[in-house]
Amino acid sequence: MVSIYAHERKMLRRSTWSWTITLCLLAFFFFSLFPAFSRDSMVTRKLLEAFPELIRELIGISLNTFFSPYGFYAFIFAYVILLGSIQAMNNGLMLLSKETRDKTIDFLLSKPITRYQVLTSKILAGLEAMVVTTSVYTLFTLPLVQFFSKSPLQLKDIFSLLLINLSLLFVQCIFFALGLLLSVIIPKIKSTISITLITVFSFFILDMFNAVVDDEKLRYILPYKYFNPLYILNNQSYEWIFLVITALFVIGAVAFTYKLNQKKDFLV
Amino acid sequence: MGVIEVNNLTKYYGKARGIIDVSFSVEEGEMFGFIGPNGAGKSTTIRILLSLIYPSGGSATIFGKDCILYSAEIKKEIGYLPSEVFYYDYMKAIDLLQYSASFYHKDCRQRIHQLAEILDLDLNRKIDDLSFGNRKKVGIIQGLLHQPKLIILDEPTGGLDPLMQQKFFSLLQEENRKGCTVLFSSHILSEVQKLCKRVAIIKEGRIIQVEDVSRLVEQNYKRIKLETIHPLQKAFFQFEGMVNLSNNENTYHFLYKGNLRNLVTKLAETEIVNLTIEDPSLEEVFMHYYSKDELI
Repeated sequence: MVSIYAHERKMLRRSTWSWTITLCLLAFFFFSLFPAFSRDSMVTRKLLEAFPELIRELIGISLNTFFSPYGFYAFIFAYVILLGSIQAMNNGLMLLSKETRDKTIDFLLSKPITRYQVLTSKILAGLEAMVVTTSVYTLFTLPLVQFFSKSPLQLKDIFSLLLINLSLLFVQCIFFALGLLLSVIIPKIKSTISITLITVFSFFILDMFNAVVDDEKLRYILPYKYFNPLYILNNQSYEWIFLVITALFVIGAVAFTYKLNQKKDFLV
Repeated sequence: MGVIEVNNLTKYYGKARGIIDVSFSVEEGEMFGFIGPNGAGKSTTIRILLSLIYPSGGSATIFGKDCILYSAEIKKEIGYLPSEVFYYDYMKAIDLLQYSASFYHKDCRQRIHQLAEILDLDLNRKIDDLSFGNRKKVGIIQGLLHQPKLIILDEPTGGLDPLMQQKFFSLLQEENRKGCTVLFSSHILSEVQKLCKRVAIIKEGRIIQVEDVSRLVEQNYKRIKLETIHPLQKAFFQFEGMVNLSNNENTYHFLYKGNLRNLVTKLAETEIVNLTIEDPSLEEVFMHYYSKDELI
């Protein structure tokens, strides 16, 4: 079991670091624009006000918060989460399906290990990848926000930022679990990234759509809406109901993955 | 109690037939052949034994333990080589073999190098760069490196040149001498004939016979060629066990199954110029079992 875990870690290492660096660069790039926005905040505000409100809502800009460093960070974070969920879902889909696609599953399952052990090792490796991404990203963004906000971070702000960044891991877990589940349901997966992109962007578009219609009920099926950074900034807390939904979904999806994987016929 | 006991194993893929009521047993230390044409159900049976797929009915045990329930445990002592080997392409041969060895919790390094030397395989090459035959060698080493008590081979010789096949067979025979049991599936009879004492013949998902290889040939039809001075009446050939008569003037070819003494007595009534009685090749026996419309 240890050897599969070690093997999967090694397989994921490069992609994990690429994604992590991409997320950090994205945050850095966006955030480096913040001083320019805030310096000429009046001009920028006028410019943004010229856009219809609909457009502003679609791209997630709130004029009340956009000019504070944390509000601006919340705006960026939506895109960080989007990329993070692509990483997570692709891993979830790939871990099992690549063994069937490349037909290496025969090799693996002819070894003295159970299917539980195979899946568990893979899930642990996938989880580790997401924890690494979130941790490194957090370590990178704390000083980044401090640097561009030009004021020392209060304990309260640090706590809020940590909670926001931790929500990256939670959303990743949702998409990872969804990927795992789909990988045992869909018989033959040729390209994991296309399924990932379709799913992730569907949620993203629904999410934008919801920003316009603002339907409270729809929020329950939109993972990107579970952890609202502005709410976290104001309350230093998550909305617990969504944390519970996240946990239930992840546990449920993983449990189903185990069940289906156990029953699956691996054909040539 | 055999090393492998297969009892009424049945597998349907949806409505499509996989195997139906397959039963046979393989004794300890035996080299057992499993013969059938493509699509007869050999791989299905083997994949159930390895619990890669689950049976629709029946059961099988290996080392006395249910092959599904105790799958992980019994695989400690199984070496498996499929017909087509697929590995992680980006790995070097040695990495793959070490990965494989890591599952067995014993030091297999010496054995890996020993086998690589016998099979003449460069372990430092990437699997992606290896030819089909060389990949097969990686597969052979992968199947043997942990010195299993049972080797399961599913049409293993494809891609190996005759010399390598010979080396591979000697390796198997050597393992067998040390007490290893072998299940050898193939559609090529001559290779099964070389290695195995007993065979199970599978056709369209069902076992049609389990037999000693030697008896399979003995109990079968003999091929007879008879040359006589005078032409014979057709009625002369109407006796039990005689089939497939053809003639070219006074030379008659036919197949005969039964007591040879009866045949010779009967033939003695004629004036014989020449008579040959031959065992059919295993291939012909095989064709007899496999042709959809019975040959004879």
